[in-house]
Amino acid sequence: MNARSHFGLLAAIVVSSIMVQPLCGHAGESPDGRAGSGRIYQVAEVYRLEEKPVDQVITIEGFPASVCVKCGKKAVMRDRDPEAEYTLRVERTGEMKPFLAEHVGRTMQVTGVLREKRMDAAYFDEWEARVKADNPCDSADGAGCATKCPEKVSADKTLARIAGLREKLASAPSGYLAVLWLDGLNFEVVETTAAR
Amino acid sequence: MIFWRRFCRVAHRDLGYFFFGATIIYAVSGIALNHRDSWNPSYSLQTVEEKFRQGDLPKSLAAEGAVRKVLERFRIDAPYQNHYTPAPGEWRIFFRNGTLTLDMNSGTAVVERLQRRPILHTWNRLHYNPGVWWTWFADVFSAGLIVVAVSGLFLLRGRHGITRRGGVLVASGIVLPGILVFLNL
Repeated sequence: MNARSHFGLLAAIVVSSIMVQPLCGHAGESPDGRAGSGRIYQVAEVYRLEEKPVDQVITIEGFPASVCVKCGKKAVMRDRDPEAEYTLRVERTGEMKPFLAEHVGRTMQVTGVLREKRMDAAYFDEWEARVKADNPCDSADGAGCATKCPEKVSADKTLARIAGLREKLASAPSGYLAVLWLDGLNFEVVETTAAR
Repeated sequence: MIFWRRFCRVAHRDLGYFFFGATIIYAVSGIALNHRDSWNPSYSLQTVEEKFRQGDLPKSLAAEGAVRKVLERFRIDAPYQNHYTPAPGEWRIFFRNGTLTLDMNSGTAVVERLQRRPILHTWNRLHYNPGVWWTWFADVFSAGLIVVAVSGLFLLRGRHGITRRGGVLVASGIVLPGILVFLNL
């Protein structure tokens, strides 16, 4: 193969790479092709929105207060305002890189699809029935199963949690409790310099 | 038959050589991750507890400047990152690769510093398939292991071969995990 045919081959590779590029997605678009709005929400801001962009690709900014240390699939994001109480769970999906222990506390921007689960009275009824039916070591005498299967979250604890959520539901004007989370598509650590 | 045995020997030898590194990575990280409930296989955590007087600290930690002073008070020179209140009367301040947790009620400060375990951190990360290319490599490695395992059965003939001693050992190696599964241990 002479120098000329080498050049021809190289040119063909470059041209085909450029042609293939749009098929693989481009900047500003999520890996599955869904484009985000470009706006960056703070964690607490997402909760304050009247019309939440559920099932839409959004970017949030905050810091993980904790990450799943076993395989980095989850992170609990907090608002950068230390007095804001809101947290937003991020679940890693697709080709997103795992969260590492070093990421805890670092300001990052996470892009993902905002999801919402609405929990009403029927939801809690079904959950409670399932916990009682599925937990073989739950006892009717109130002794509970914490001592019988300490590795698992006991049915007692789950039932107590459901009772607590029912109390919150009673005071919710919407008639349901909403849990928000983000199906993460990618994230970027952003170094912060400006003081709040 | 001669061709088959020669193929087994060559495949077993060459794949064994080629995948030596990957085998060690998966084996060592496998042991480390198997026991992750009793230790952190990827990081070491250094914890120091210290008492403080409330008068030594700013009254409010809401502002970043006050938090930086607190870090200085506890001789932490790593860059500040973020902070929040996990519970009433408690502050958690994140600095690079560590946290400072202040319990204002008891006057106790806990400094935790995180450090990557030099080799294990990388090997554990690889064990969890960090990217597409590694997934491909891991698939090829797994296919290679199957070839190594099957070809290993037919390397030797005679009393050490698969029809005698080898067969007993192979059967034992299958039956033993089978018993553990059956007994749900």
